[in-house]
Amino acid sequence: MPDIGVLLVEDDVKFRTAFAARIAEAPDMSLLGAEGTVAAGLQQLERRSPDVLLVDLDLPDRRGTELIRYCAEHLPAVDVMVVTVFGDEKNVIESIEAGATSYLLKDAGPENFVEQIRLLHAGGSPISPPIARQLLSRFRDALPGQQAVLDTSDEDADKSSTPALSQREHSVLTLVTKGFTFPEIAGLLEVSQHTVMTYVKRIYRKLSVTSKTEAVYEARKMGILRDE
Amino acid sequence: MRPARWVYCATSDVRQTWPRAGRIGLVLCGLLLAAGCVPHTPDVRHITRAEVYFEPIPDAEIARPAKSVPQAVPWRSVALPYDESRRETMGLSPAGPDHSVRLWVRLPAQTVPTDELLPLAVHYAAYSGPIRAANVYVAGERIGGTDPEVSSNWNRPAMFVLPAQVTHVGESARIVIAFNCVVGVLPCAAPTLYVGPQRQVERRHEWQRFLRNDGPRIGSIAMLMLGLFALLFWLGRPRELVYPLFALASLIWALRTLHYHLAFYPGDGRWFWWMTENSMSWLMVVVYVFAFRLHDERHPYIERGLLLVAIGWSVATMPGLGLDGWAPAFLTHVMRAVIAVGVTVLISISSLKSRSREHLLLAIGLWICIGMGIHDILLLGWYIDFERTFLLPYGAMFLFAAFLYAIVRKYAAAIAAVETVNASLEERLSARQAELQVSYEKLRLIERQQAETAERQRLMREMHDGLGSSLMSSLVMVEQGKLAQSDIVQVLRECVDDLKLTIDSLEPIGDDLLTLLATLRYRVGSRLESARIKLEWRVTDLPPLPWLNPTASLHILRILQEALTNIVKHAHASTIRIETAADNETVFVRVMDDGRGFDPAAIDSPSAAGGGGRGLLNLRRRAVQIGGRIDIRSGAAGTTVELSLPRLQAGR
Repeated sequence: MPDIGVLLVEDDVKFRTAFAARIAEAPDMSLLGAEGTVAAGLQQLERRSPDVLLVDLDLPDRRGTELIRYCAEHLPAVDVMVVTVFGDEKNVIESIEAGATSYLLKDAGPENFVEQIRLLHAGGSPISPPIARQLLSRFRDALPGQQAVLDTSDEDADKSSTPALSQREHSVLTLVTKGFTFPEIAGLLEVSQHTVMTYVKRIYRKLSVTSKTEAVYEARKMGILRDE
Repeated sequence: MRPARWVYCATSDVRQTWPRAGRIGLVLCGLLLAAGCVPHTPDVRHITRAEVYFEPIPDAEIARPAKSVPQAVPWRSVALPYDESRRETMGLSPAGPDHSVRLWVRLPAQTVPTDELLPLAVHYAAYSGPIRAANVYVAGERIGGTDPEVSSNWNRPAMFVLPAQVTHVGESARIVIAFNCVVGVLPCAAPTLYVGPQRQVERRHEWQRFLRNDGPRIGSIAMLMLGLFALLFWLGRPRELVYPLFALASLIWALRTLHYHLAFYPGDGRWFWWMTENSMSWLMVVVYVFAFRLHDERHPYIERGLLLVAIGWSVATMPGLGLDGWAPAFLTHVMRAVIAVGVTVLISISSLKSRSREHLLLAIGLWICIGMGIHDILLLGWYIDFERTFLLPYGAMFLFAAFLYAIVRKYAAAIAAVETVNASLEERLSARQAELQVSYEKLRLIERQQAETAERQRLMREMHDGLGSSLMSSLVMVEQGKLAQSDIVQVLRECVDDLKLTIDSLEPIGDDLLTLLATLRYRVGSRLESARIKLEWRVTDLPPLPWLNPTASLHILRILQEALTNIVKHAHASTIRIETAADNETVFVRVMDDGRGFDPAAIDSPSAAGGGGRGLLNLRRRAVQIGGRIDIRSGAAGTTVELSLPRLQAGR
């Protein structure tokens, strides 16, 4: 199995150095670059095509979400992970909407840090109870006229323009808001822990799509875009 | 029909310039003018001289025709209309009983122009007397007559078609008409006659039928419909008396009009005539009360007087009470006219004072009715040409039109008033809304300032109690060189943890305590794992806590964090169980461990106020601040810290 190529964009030098060191230490990862601005990050993205992008939101030149959005649009194979101090709902939801599928707390211990990157690359994403709660309410009052928020089928509904949550995804989010961990949820739903984590990642992608549709809808409502 | 056409032209000319009321009046004027004229029929002979002969007959024969014209009787040549056939002229006693007579009228022998295809016809306009039957004879033989079953031929035009072979009326084929009637107070009279081609005579006849019978009937039905409309309107507005008065007037008028067009009366007709006579009194009461109401005037004496007179006359003239003859009825008509003039003068004066258009119109309508009524009384009493048409049925149309105009004006005024009120209400409403908006904005500003102040104070307190004091004490110790690096890490980690609790307390979790607990677990789960303590998560769904704001959330998080920290530091437990429960008033959160336990009483005592004691005191203080309480049970099997929270908080 080839190494996981990681690109790091973080303006705080201490953090950048610490993170870079941890990635370099990990036997299954290679650091493809450690940048401090969105502009530099964009250059590196094009040049190095990493597997994982670690990005801070507060960057000196532009907002980190721009980098995330660029990735989601042009390099969908890249797993984007936001580095955040507290993992608070506002910042995380903003990142997910832009296209990130995971987030990493800055105070995570060294082992935890690389383990999270491995997890993400393997297809899993962390989720906190307030974020799960927020997602539930987001999908509940999705777009006007879109009543069927819950897909009865367990099939991926990614193809529709405004995806709804499947029954399983809804269950996972509900259990997260009640404080159950991924292993516990896996046991309750009788699936593997890895499956639970892929559900979460899929929910993140749906939110990203939904927020884009919502943006288009809002724009249309305000007359910025017209139906041609 | 030249006059009628003139009326039409006149109305179309003035339509744009005259006010509506004026136009209505003009149309009614024209109708009356038309009523006075007859169709232009040049070939019809108007017979104004004839020979007459009276034949007294038994009362039983009053409705029956004579078989043939009497021969060799003394015919007398008279001018038509002939109404001098009173008892006196017939040599009968003026005071005696009524006499049944047959009045023979022989038309002069003269050539009548004929329409080759149609036979001749003879017609008279009306007969204002007690006629029971009319029969027509040609060449001595009866060729037709009125329907013997009809209750009365009063006010009914008649037309008889002569046999086809009669092309001219000469000596050999004289036309003779016999009128069966009762001579009493009123004479048995002979009207003028019309002879000519059937089609032309028919036109005259139809026109007279319309003027005398159908016109009043159509008018009364139309008014009855308007009355019904007013009645329905009244159901919706029971306090407006003008509507039911109008309906009542139209009903009484319909009863009054029946005798103009009804051919068959119920019974012997005595009650029918009683109703016909007295309905005029009832109508007067209603009309004048209506007029007073319209003027917003009360004349209780006049109103009561009118009512008393109407009731008195009605009772006095009831059949069988002796006053139901023709003479009292005629007298009543005259007295009514006198009273009407008096009351109408009163109304006219107040109309002139008020100068309102509907009041003036009503007064004019009343005067028109009085004028026409006097005309009709004169006609009834044989003081003027008895062949004239009764005018009051048409005069009533003026009056009802004036009524209707007044009602519509009243209604329109009411609507206009409502619209004005609505408009001013809307204005006031929007003004009040603007005021509300301003005060709402002020209130919101104040609320926001209060919220900001409260939040600032909360943050200050948090900095003092939590992060601030931890950092301060660590700083002092680091400066004194008393802290090892691991201790520094520990202190800083606690600071970060506390910061995270603050962040979590601000997350938008709504009123959901379970998500708050979940947040805590999400934060501390890995810490417990690394301390090799197993966490059993035994939560149940909890009712929403409406009072759960960030401040309360932070208190709960701190309480539970403190409980967990104590267990990790002191209890030497291997398992922690967190469970929730709820009853009708309270929500419970229990943190249980299987550690070595302690004596809560000893720790709670003031002497133990240092160390762990202060931690417990803090727990209790925080619980009380959010309206809850802490219960601690500890023993050899472990410790249970139970946080009880109210489901509803007074004042929140």
